[in-house]
Amino acid sequence: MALQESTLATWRGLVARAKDGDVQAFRSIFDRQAPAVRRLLGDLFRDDAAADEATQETFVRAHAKLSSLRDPHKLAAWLFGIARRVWFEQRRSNRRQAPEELAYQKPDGQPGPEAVLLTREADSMLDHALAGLSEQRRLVLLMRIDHELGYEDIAHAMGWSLGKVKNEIHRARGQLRARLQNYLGDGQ
Amino acid sequence: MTEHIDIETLEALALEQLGATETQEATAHVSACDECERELEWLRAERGLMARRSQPDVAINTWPRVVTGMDATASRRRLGRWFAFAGSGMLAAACAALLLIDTGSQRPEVALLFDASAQHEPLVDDKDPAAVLAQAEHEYDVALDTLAAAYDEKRKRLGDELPPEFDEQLRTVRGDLAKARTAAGDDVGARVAVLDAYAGYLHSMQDTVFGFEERLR
Repeated sequence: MALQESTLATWRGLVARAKDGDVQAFRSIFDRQAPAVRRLLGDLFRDDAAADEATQETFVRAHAKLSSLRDPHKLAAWLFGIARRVWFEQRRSNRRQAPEELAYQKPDGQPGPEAVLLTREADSMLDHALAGLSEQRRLVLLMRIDHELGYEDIAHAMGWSLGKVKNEIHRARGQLRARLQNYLGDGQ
Repeated sequence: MTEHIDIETLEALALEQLGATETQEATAHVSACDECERELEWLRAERGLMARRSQPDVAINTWPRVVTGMDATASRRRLGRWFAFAGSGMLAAACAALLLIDTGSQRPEVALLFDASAQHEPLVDDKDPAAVLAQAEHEYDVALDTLAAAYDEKRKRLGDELPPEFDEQLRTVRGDLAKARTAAGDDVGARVAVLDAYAGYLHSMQDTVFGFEERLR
C-alpha cells in the first residue's frame, strides 16, 4: 500500500523516537498497527485467545528488534513478518489443529454472484472459503487483499522470492474463487 | 484483444489507485475484454468482501502485557550482558572496588570507593597489594550477599514471571566466579582479574534488582 509522504514522515518520526527508547512513541505505533496485526493473527489462528496472545508477543518482539527496522515505511510488512513467526512457533508448540470446516448451507434461490457476495451470508461464506486454503496461502492472500500490502512487502514479510509470492497469491485466488463459486452455484 | 492487463494494474484499478490516464486506458481495455472484465469483477468482489468483514478489537489488556514483556526482555538482556561478561572473564573498564552501603531504604546503593585511574585516599596500606586485594574481596562479598538477598526477596514476589533457568544461570555464574577466585590463589594479577569479573557481576546484579523493582511497582 503506497503511503503518503506526510504519513511516511509520521512513521519515520515515531520509529526514530521508539528506537531511542520513547515508550510513548512505541505506544503510538502499537495503537496504529495492532488492529491489523490482531486481524491477521485472528485469521491465522481462528482462535481469539491465541490471536490476542500472539499480538502481544508480536509487539514485545518488535520492540526488542526495533533497531533492525531500516525502512519505517515497511513497518507493516515488518510487523507482519514477526507476527507470522510468532504464529508459526505457537502453532508448532501447541500443535493446534485447524478447525474443521463447518457445514455451510447454501442459500436457496441464488441471485447473481456479486449480489450474493455482498449479502449477509457473505462473511460466513468467505470465512469458510478462506479456511479451506492452506495456512501459508491464506496468509499471503490476506496480506494482499485484506491488508493491501505490495508484493515486495509480502515477500519481505514471508522471506520468499517475489516470484513465489506472486505465484502463491495467484493460486490462492484461484482456490478461493473456486470455493466461492461452489457456494454460489454455477453463476460465474 | 491481444494483450491482457497484468494483475497488478487490474488490482490498482479495483483499488482506484491508478492515475487518470491509466484508469482511462485500463477501463477502455476492460470494457472490450471479457477476461479482464471478469477478473476485475472478482477483484472488486474480493475487495467488497474484505471491507465487509468485522474488525476484531484488540484486547484491552494487550498493551499492559506488551509493557510487561518489554520489561522482561530488558531484564533478560541485562542478565545476558552479565553472563557474557562473567563467562568470558573479560575485564571491566575500570578497576574499581565497590562497597555496598545500606542506606536503610528499599534500594541498596553501590558506591565507588576507589578507581585505579583516579587519585584516591588509600583505604589500607596500598603498598601491600595482598592487603588491598583482601579488603576489596571482602567488600565484594558483603555487596554480593546484600544484593543476593535483595534479588531473592524480589524474585519470590515475581514468581512464575521468570523462568527457573534464570536462577540456575545465576547460581552457575556465581559458582564459576568462586572457582576462579580459588584458582587465582596468591597470584595478584589473577586476583585483580577475578575482582574485575566480580565488578561486572555486581553491576549486572544491581541492574537486575532495579529491573525487578520496576516490574514490581
